[in-house]
Amino acid sequence: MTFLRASPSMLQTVTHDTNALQPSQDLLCWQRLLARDEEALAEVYDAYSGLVYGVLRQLLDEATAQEVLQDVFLRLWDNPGAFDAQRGSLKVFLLVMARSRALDRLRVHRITLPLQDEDGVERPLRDDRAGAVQHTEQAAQREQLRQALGELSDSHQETVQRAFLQGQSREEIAQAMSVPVGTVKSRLSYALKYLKGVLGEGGKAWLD
Amino acid sequence: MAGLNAGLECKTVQGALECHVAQAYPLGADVQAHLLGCAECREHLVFLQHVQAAVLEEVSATAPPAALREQLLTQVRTHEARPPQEPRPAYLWPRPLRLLWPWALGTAVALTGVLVWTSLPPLQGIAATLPDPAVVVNTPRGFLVASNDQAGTLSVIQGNRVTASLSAGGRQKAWFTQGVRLGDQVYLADTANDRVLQVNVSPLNIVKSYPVPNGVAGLTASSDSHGGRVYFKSVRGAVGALGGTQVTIAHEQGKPLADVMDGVLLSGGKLFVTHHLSGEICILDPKTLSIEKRLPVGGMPVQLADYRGGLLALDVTGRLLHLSLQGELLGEWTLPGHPDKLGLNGDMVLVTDRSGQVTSIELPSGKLTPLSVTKPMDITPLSDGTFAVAEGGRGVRVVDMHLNTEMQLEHGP
Repeated sequence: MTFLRASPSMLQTVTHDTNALQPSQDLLCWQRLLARDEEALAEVYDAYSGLVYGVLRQLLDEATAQEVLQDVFLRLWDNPGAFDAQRGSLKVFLLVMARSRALDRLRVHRITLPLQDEDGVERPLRDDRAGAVQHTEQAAQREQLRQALGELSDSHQETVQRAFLQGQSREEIAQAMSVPVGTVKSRLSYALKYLKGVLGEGGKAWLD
Repeated sequence: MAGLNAGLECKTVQGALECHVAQAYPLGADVQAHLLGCAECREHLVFLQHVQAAVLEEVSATAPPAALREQLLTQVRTHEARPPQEPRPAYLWPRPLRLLWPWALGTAVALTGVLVWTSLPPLQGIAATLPDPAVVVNTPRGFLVASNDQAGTLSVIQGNRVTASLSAGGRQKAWFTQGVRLGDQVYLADTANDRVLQVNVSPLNIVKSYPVPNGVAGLTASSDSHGGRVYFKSVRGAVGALGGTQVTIAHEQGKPLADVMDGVLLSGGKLFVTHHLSGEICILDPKTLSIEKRLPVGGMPVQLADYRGGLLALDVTGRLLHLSLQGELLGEWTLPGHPDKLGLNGDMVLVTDRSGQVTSIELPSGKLTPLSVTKPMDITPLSDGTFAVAEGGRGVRVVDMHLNTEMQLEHGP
C-alpha cells in the first residue's frame, strides 16, 4: 500500500482534501499508530494537518491554533485507540476533536465540562452498518449535506456555520448578525429541516 | 415512541441536542434517559453530528507552519515510551448502553473506586509534594495542586503520581485562593503575597508574577481570536485584566485571608463579578470595565459558573441561584452549611464547605447528597468527568459525580 505523502513545501499549498487518505489507508495508518509507528503519524499529519489547522484558525488566534494542532496529533499518538475505525473516518475524528479542543480553549473560564471522552471527542451512537460500504455511503451522504448547505441563503449558511463550527449560542449569533434571537432560531430550524429533507428517505435509512 | 418519553417532549430534547452538538453543552440525565426510548431523537442526534461533520469538512485547508511538523515528530520521539495498544473493542456494549456511557463509566468508576479504596492504602509516595493543598486546577493531562505551605509548593498530578513540583516562594507564606486555566497555563491567585502567578504546566515553571496590590479575591480566564485574558477582582473591590486597566466597583477594607472569596466570570460577552459583602453581582462591559448593572441577589455570592446559557451563583449562606445573563432568577436551591467553591459537570454540581463537607446537587431534581471530608478548600472538574477536591492539611481526593471516592492522594505524617 502506498500512502500519500506531502513534503513541507507541499504543505504550503495544500488545498481542500488534497492529501486525504482513503478509508482503507485510514485503517492501515491507524493500525500502525497502535503499533507505535512514528512514520504513520507523519503520514496522518501530512494528510490532515491542513484541514485541522483550517478549522482551528476559524476559531483561534494563530499561536493558539498551532498549540492545539500539535495537541490534537499528540493525543492521537498517545491514544490511537480512541479512534474507532469502524465508526467513521479518521479525518472527521480529527476535525471533531480539533473543534472540541478549540471550544475548550475558548471556554476555559467555564467550570462546566461536556460529557466527552478523554480526547474531547463526542462518543457517537453506534452504527450497526460498519465497514467500507458504510464509509462510502456516509461520505456520499455528507457530500449531499454539503451541497445542500451551499443551496441555503447566505444568511442561513452563516447561521449554521456560526452554530456548528464556531459554537456560538443563539444569543451570540443574534448579536453578531444584528438580528433578533427569534430570527436566529427560525433560521436554524429552517436550515436543519431543509438539510434533513434533502437527505430524504435514503438519508433517513442512513441515519437509522 | 416519539412525542413524550421519560418526562420530556421530543421538541425539548431535540433543542437540547442541538445545543449539545453545536455548543458542546453536556446532555442532562433526563435527556439521556429520553434518548434510550426515543428512536426519533436518537436519529436527530446522529443527523446533527453529521451536520457538524459536513460543516467542518467544508472549511478550506490552511497550511500550518512547516516547522510544526518536525516539532511534533520530535516531541513524539522524546515522549515517554508507551507499549503498543490493542484496538478498543468495538460494540462491546449494546446500542442503548453506549448512549449512556457517562453513566456506565460512572458506575465502573464507582466500582473501581470502592475496590481501590478498600483494598489499597492511601498513596504515600507523594508525601513531600502535597503539604497543604489549597487550590486545584484541571490541566490538559491531569491537575495542578497549589499548597499553602511555607514554600508555596506547586505540584502536577497525572494519574496517581506527582510528575513535577516546584516552590513558588514568596515573602509571606502562600495563601492560594483560586486558580484558572488558560490553555496549557494556569493562573494562581496568591493573596498573601499580593500576586497572581502565571504557571506553565509542562514543563512546570513560573512564567510571570503579576503584582496585584491588596490581593486577589477572584479570577477568570478566557481566550478568543485576539488572544487570552485573565480578569481578577481584588480584595478591596478593584476589577481589571492582568496587565491591563482596572476599575473599582467597591471600596473595602482588607479582610482576613480566610474570608477572601469572590467570583468572576466572563460569559455572553459580559463580565460578572460577585461582591459578597453587599450581596451583589455586578455586570460589566469587559472592554471598558464600566458597570452596566448591579444585581441585588442578597446573601453572600462568592462563586459563578456558566450553566445552560445563563449562570449559577453560589451563595455562601447556603443558596445556589440560576440566573439568566440579564439577571433574572430562573431557579434556586437551598444548600446545607456554608459552601464557598463549586464544580459543575452537566446538571451535577458539587459544592465544598470548609467545615468538612462536599455536597452534590442534581439540578433538575434538586436531590442533595453529602460526603464528609477533611476541610475541602477547592474543587475542580477533570476531563474524565470526575472532580478533584483539595483537602486542606490532608491531600487530594478524586470523586465521581455521585461522590464515590475514586482515588485519594495523602501526604504522610
